[in-house]
Amino acid sequence: MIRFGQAAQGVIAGILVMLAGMWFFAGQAARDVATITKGNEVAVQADGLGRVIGAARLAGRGDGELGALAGRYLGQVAPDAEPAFRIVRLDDRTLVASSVEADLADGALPRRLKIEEKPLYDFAAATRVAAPATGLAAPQVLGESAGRAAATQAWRDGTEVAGHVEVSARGAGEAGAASLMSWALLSLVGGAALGLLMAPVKAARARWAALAVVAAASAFATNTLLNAKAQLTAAGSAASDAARERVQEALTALAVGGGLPVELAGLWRAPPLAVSDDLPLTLMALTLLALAVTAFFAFGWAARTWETIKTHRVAYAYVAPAIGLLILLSFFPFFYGVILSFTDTTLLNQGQPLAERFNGLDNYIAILSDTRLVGEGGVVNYQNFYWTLGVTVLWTVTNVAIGVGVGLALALLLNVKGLKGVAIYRTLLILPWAIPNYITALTWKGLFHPQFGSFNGLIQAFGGQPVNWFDSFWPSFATGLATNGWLSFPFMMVVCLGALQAIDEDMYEAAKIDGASAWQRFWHITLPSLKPALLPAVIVSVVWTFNMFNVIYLVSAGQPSGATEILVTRAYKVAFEEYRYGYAAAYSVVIFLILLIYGVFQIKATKATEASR
Amino acid sequence: MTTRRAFASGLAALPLFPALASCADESQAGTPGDLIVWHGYRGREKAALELVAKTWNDRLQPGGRRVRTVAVPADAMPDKLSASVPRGRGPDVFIFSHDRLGGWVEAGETVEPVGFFFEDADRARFLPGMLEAMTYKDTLYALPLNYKSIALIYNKALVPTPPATTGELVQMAKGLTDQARGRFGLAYAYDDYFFHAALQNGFGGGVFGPDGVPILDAPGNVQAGELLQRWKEVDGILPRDPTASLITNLFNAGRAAMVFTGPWFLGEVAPGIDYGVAVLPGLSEAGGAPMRPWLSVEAVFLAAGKPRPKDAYDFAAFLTGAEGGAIMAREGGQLPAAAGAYADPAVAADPVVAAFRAQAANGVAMPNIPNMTLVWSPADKAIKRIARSEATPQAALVDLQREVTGAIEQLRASAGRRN
Repeated sequence: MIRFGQAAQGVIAGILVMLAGMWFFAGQAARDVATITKGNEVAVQADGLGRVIGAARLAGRGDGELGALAGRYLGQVAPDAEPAFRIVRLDDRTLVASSVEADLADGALPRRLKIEEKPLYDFAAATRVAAPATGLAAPQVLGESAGRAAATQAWRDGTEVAGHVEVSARGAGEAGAASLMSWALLSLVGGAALGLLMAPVKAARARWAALAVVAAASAFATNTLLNAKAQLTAAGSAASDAARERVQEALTALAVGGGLPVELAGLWRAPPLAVSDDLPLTLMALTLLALAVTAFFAFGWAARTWETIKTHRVAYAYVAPAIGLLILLSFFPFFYGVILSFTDTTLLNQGQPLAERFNGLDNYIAILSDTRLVGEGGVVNYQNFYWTLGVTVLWTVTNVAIGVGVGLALALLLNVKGLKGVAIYRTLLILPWAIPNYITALTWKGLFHPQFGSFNGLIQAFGGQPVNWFDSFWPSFATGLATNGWLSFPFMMVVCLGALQAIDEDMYEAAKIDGASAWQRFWHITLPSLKPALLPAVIVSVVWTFNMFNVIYLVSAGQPSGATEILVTRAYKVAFEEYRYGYAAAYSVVIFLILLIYGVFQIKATKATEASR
Repeated sequence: MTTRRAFASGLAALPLFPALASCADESQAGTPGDLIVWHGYRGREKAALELVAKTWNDRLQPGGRRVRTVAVPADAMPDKLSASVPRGRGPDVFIFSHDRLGGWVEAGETVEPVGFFFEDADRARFLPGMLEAMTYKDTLYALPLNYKSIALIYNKALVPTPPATTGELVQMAKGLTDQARGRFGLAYAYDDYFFHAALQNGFGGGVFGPDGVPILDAPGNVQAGELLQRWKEVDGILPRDPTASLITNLFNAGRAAMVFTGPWFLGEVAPGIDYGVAVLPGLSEAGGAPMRPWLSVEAVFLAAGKPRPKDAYDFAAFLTGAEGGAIMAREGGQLPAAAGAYADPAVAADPVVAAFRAQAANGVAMPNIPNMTLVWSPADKAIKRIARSEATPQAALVDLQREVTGAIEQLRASAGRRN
């Protein structure tokens, strides 16, 4: 019985999700169809008006006659839609004619544009810039507001684009949206009711039945909705065509009866109505979501989750602020980055909606399938992902080896019994760690200057040839290595020193008595005792070094030609020098995945060593 | 599609629709607060701008809007602008260099065109070439405030009269160079594309052709690279790895007789050095054609979609006018773009200003089209290869051309794919 209750909950929740989603997406699709239809109607009317005004100027009609002409034309093409128009001229910033009440209230036309009417001037200017050498570009639909749609077209005075005309008219209502929704609603509720009747038949399989019911109802509703949308679209296309025919008739009448030779050829034709082509896809995703929600309830997961929260509510209350902050500061940017990596976002298109920037796995494919490691003429392509990955791995391994080696050696020295001034040495040796690493990096960059750096100074003092540090791969790589070695050994030293001091002296005593050599004592007592402290340190140090942006960016800066770049600096350059944000995000996700895989293996390996102890 | 969407969304709120016209009037009627001006200035320039704002506020007519200046770090300003202005927040006016203009226009809803307020007679108010930098796709978007370009700065103790041609320059520099002792006739950031461009433009090369297509491997650019290699390898008058701090140190120590650098350098010159500023020498290798350095023009922009843009424009016109320009020059050490500012006796008498003004006359405004942002980094890389003689200028520039063309195609492909 419980199962049946849960199954029913699941069906209801799933249907609700479906309903809410359809309400939203179907409503949007219906509104889109209506908006585009209206836009197409006024667009063709504006196109006609632009031609009428152009013809009137060619025929030598003055500014005063244009308004009446436009009014008559619009009365013919949109008699029931309360049409209105404006005619703007750019060069003398003039509102030539208008049937907008607010414009007429401000004095006789034509008149100079007022300061508040700057947008009209800017628009006319942009229209002129966008105009083709001859003829007219497609009219621009401005969208709709308060049930009125508006569109503009340029008009030519002789050969020049002189300004623009604007046409606005009341469009058809939004009956389409309502009818679309009622069909979907009906089919959903009907499907659900049918399903609920069948569900109790076999209570043991109720939860599967619930899934089936929701799936069937969704499929049926989706089908109904798509059919209704197709009809709506067809009606919209027909309306656009009818509007164009009326414009054509009016223009012909002007040409024949009115004595105005209006150019009829190339009158704008609305493109086939294609609205939210992704509606089927959206609905499919919606169905999946509804099924997931159904399963969540029907299989009792919802109940269990609720139980857990209720039982441990104090604990959840305590961690809630932390979770909130983590979501805001960590998870959100992270997931945003992941989403970005599936888009082709760049500097130029970042304002577009996310759905238009979506490009699936293209970025990942572009990164991982780029195998042109060696370019023309045998030159290594340093921008290649695998080259950079190789450099990064080499960089990490050598750095950690140097850090651990130097750190351990110094720790052993400092750990010598009876050494005088230990505190001073220790403080001095920790200093490199205490100085911000970008300051250290810049200092080292100066030391490596080919002409004035201290290293070349030293080399020359001993009669050697100066090294051009940043001109070839290995010296350039070495500069980074030296800098990062300097920065990383204090940490390892401190870790080792702490662990060394925790080693029981008795073990060394016992080993000495058994005749173990110093080497044997190091190998069999010191190193195994250091392992628990050293391993975690090495793990984090690998991650740090792998992503050590500052040193590479500031010291070698990837010279020569990006050869010594590591993955993070490369990702930075893609993002902030090439402005390909989506590609850079994918790069970062790849880096994350590499480190994730490394982390999982490392933890497994650590656990294995712990278990063996 | 981008531009079309920008239009539609930008205009939807404005009194274009007859139905909306009355509502829009109401929104304009409310008194907006102070005019907020964002700038990236510090020190003297900041004080000078505040003085201009104070002068403006003191003369305010009743109903006028007070100007309030807000310092925003220059490197953070573009991000802050694109995050705030399209959402109706941010400043009314901002001061920034002109090379971002194209990007802002293409992104939409960031900068306001000012052609409506600008009369043809206003053209004469500015030095020639400045307004071109403010124009993108035949539309004027800002008023020019000041300009920066590199020029020849020389140590008068070592160079009594500055060279007029590169032939003279090399001859003089050879006599003043002693590589072993770290003395150089000429030092400048020759491996930095911004500086090298003076040679490239001088030889008739450049970045983009008239149609906006990259011409980075043009013959003029190759010749410029060859001249640089000759200076460095054959004539041996240049130091290695010329970072900005190295050049400053060399010049201040009297070890570099001449440097190519901009007005920003003057603040760093040691007090003991008697320096002069002169126009970059003409290129003997190009029949005496002048070197043509990049001109970076700082402009006063109006943020898009703000109420009462005329107020903002009036202040911008005052700031970039003769009086504002003179204050910015006198108090802030700027090189004003306003022709009238040079009538100010203190500005007119300054030989440094005169030299930079003469230099600006043959400068080239940095391209303000968005694709320029894709050029800097690869171009720098190519110039470094040339400077180190890693590759012939021809080879390095052909690679550069390929790289930049590819990057533009990739950026355009993703921006235009669904258009």
